[in-house]
Amino acid sequence: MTVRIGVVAFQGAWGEHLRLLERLGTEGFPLRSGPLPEDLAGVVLPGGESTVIGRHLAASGLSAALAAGIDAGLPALGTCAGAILLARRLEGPAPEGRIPRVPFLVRRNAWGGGAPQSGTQRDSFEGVLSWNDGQSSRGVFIRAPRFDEPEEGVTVLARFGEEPVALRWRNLFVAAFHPELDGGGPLHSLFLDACRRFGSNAAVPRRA
Amino acid sequence: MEPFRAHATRKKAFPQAFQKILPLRNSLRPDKVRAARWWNPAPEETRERGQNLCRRGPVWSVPDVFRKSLFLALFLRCRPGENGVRGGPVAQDRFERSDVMMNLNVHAREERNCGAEGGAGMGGDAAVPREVRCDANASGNGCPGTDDVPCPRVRRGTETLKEGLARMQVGGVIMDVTNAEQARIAESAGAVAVMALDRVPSELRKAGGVARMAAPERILEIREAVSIPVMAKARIGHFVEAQILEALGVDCIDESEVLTPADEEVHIDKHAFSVPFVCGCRNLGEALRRIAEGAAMIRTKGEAGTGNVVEAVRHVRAVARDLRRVLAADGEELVSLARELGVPVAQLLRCREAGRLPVVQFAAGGIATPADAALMMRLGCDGVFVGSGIFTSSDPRRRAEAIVEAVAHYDDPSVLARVSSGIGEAMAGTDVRRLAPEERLQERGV
Repeated sequence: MTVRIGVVAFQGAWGEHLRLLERLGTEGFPLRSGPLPEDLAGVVLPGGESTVIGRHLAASGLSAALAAGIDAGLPALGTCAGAILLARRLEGPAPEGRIPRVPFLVRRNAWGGGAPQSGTQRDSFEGVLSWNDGQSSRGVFIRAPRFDEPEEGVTVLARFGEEPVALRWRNLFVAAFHPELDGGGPLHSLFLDACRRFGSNAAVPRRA
Repeated sequence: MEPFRAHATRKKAFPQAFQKILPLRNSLRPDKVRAARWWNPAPEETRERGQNLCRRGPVWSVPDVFRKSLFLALFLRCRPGENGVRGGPVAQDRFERSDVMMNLNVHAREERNCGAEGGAGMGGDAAVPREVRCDANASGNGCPGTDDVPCPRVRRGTETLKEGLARMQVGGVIMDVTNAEQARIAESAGAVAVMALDRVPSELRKAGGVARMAAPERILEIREAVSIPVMAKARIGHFVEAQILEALGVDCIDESEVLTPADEEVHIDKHAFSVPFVCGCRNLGEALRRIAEGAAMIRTKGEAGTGNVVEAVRHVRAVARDLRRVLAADGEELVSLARELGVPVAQLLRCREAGRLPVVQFAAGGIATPADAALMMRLGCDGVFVGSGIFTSSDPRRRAEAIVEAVAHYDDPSVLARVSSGIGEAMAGTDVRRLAPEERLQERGV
């Protein structure tokens, strides 16, 4: 069954996300303003600059619409900047327009090893992730955030070394890396499963 | 590994005729180190020395001599200025790079890239055998990667990472700033990155003299002030300035015609760096030559510091026009089209695969108002650089915010009308036709 997935399309790698969804046999469309369409089965917050995407989310009113949708069980996937926007706790100055739901602490640009937010493009890397179901895949980390202190109810889906880099909380998925630059992989199959389940239950009341 | 020795080994292994076309071969497949292996498998002794090679995938059965003559036959044909083929001065420049430099850089790349599978959607090439390389066997162990488990080595500075950073800037505005205060204004107004400079282009124009890389302390001051990426400009061909910027931790380097060129013939070999580069272009030929040299992002040159968008429009239209020709061309016309544009055929194939320029394309040079920015987006750019336009206007913060909004909602005239009002005076601007030929920055670096 094909489901329709909205990709927040103000800034960043939303084009790559749309192409990837198409390749995985799902219909993606750019989402730039509220209210959310009735048949929306999932939403993707792409990589980019969290301050800029958050700014546009707040200004367009999409932030509030998405927060309401997510509280009603709408599945969401946040990659890199998108993960920063979905995190409940944040180190350093917080961007506008966040949808702080997933209970963990995110540190921006934190792979530099030095002071907070000291990560630069030099510290960007590609590495192998181990997924909790035993698979492994490649992950592309570009000025990536670091995930810390996942609370009760958060499943660590993948790690790079000891570091959690992909998390699931209820219907929300966050990743510090960019599956859209790398053909999707396990994260997208989990996310699309959640979307299909949500899409087929659209008739029943959406309460998380 | 010591690159000079490796080069010497390679030199010995091949007759002079093959050496001559090495740079040509590299220019045809700049992003595919595997091609180098295909042409020139590592000699046994270097493999034993622990050179980073473990090979998987199909083993080539085509005899060596046959392969090499194929290469010769194919590529000597399209080498300009030889075999009766006429090449323009531009094409000539492109191919007159020294064997030494290209070979060294191939090695630099091999060392850095463990495994060379192109990223999805970034010009993966099915014709090249899948080969995974890593330096895990430098210690005598084999590469731990298998068909199911990828090689665990961490890679930095790959093409995927470099082009990926550029992709994260799409739909954004990159602003020129000259101090920490301006950088903070730019960030809070919604800039996607800042360009750290000593002086904005319009001031550089007035000041005259030699324009160079910004002072390191200024770049560091700006980097401290913001969390968004920081870019900086290096002079065309000045690879040492670029190395300094890389060492400073700059996120992206602009090899820019706005600064006085350090080399009037040769651009920086951008494959040799682990930070991405952005380069200016006036037409498709310039754009693809820069991409072949390793640029991860392309921008129009426009005419910087004039506040006049006419040249940027001319350049983006020229790129689009040539691109339409490339996309519509018959397969067999490609080689002559490549000759005409002065670019490697492989780059034209990449364009056809992507249906557009294979990397992110921004607009730059003369953008001063939200309407200018939206115009460039409507013409097909992925984002804009605003140089002098913001901080020489009367109300930089509001103008910056307006341009950010305009880029995100470029196809909604009602939003554009709203954000264009109440933002004060734009920079004065210059009629480009009144510039003396030597004042035109866009002529630099073709």
